[in-house]
Amino acid sequence: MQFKIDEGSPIYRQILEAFIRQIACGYWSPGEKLPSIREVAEMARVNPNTIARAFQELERTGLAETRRGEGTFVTTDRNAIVDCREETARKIWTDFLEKMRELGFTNDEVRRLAAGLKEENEL
Amino acid sequence: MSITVQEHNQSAPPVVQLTNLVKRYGLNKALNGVDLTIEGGKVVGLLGHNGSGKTTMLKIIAGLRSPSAGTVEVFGMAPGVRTKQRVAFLPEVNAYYDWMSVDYLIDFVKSFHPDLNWDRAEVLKKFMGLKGNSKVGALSKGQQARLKLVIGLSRSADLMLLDEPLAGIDPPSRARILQALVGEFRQERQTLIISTHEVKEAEPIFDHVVFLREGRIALEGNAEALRAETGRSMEELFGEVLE
Repeated sequence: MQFKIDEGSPIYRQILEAFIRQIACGYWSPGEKLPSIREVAEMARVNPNTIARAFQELERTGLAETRRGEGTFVTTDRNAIVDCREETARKIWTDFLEKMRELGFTNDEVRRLAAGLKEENEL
Repeated sequence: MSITVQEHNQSAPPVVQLTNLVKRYGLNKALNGVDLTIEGGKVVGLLGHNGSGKTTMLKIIAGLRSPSAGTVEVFGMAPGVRTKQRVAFLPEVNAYYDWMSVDYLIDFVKSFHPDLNWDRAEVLKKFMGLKGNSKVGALSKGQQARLKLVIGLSRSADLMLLDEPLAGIDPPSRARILQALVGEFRQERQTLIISTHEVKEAEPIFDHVVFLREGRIALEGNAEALRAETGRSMEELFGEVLE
């Protein structure tokens, strides 16, 4: 688990987003115990209060829950993880489309490009 | 291992309260009217160029210098015997005897700071890659800086003042020191004030930053809030505010 931090924007948000991505892609399995706040803080060399805030927000998304005295666990609700994965994909897709539009591509052109890419990947 | 984030007792006085603090050295004003309140449970970055007044401020909080004007309160008291029991000051300059071995030095410090925890020192010594029988004088600058941290972090001080713990130290030692600081910091009861002019690596460990320029506070605030408001890192703000 590694974090690449951009110090020019709130760090807790970056840690939160990293965990959301990792849960969405299955790096952490449903029900798996996440590292402790202190472990993450040491690993990332980030203030434990900042990590605690990221964990609180992670709980708020429903992707993780904290059990008193035991730690923080990934939710066992697979639907929540599927939803999160789709939402993450939608964000990436929306971002991508916006950039393509800036480059002057129409949706049809993007579709054709995507189909072309698919064939390339299958080769 | 899990950590519960506890709120500090709201009715307790701030850990540090400086009011219109002035410190003169001859004709020079090292501090020129500083008002500052530091709440418990925070890691505070005291940021400024050399000569901006950082060391003077830390020494006054530690009770090693007295102010020329203004007031200083630590845990609601004027610095003195009672506050010194709760405060650890780690100076930038190495004050240890070269002929002592690492273990002898730790024992020596324990003789006048009984709150030093030997088990913890042992763990930290290993983490920092120091050997007990090495002579202090034979250690590199980075190793001496690590040793200073081992000793400081082995004490259970409520307030730790670290003066330039990263200055002139090799990058691996810097990373180790920051990691140990984050790992040992107990936010439910401790407060750290760390002075530095090397902001980049240290800034993720700060809750609160204070930019000091020519003995005055040029800017202070919560680091995450400043990032959100300005879209800038503390390192970038350092350049802009202290230019």
